[in-house]
Amino acid sequence: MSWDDLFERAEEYETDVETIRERLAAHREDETTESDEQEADDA
Amino acid sequence: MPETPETNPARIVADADVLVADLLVGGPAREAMDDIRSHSWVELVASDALLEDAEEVIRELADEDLAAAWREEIEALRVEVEHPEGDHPALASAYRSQAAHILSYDEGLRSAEASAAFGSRLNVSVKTPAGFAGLFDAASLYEAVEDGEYPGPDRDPRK
Repeated sequence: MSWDDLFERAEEYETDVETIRERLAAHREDETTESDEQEADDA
Repeated sequence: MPETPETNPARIVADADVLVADLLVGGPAREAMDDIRSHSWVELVASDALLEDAEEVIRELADEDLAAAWREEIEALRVEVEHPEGDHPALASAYRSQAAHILSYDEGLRSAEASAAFGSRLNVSVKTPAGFAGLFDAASLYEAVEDGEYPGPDRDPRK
């Protein structure tokens, strides 16, 4: 698959940079929380 | 005090928000990534953690198949770097690879977050995709990192 093929497939999903940033921030916050909980469990 | 490492101006980290925007939005993110994809001597550096962040967001906003197909393509493009678990993936990828640039929509990366994580040891310029695309000068960069005259783009950015 080429990048052009990927971009064509992605066209059906409408989103924007702000939504991407929010999802990424939420994902990274979840990861931090899980990591902190794991460290607490290990301690 | 540790010395600030020299950076490689042709080594670039795109944070996960830019990688996802390249795929799902286009615009400046795709313009900046096309600059990278067009030149084989420009290195896109990324850790597994950075790509996993982007893949997860693509999976959420699009679907599993598209996320997997994207991961296959980006794996062929990226130069892998490792960093400790828990580090910020973009900052740590840049720090570990001596990349000169981070592309990100996160203004927090420009100051407090980066300073807190790596202090003066991180000598990197954080730019928005639009800022990077506007300033990217392939000819000057080529002369700085390669021998000879800039031959023009040597890769199709959409293949």
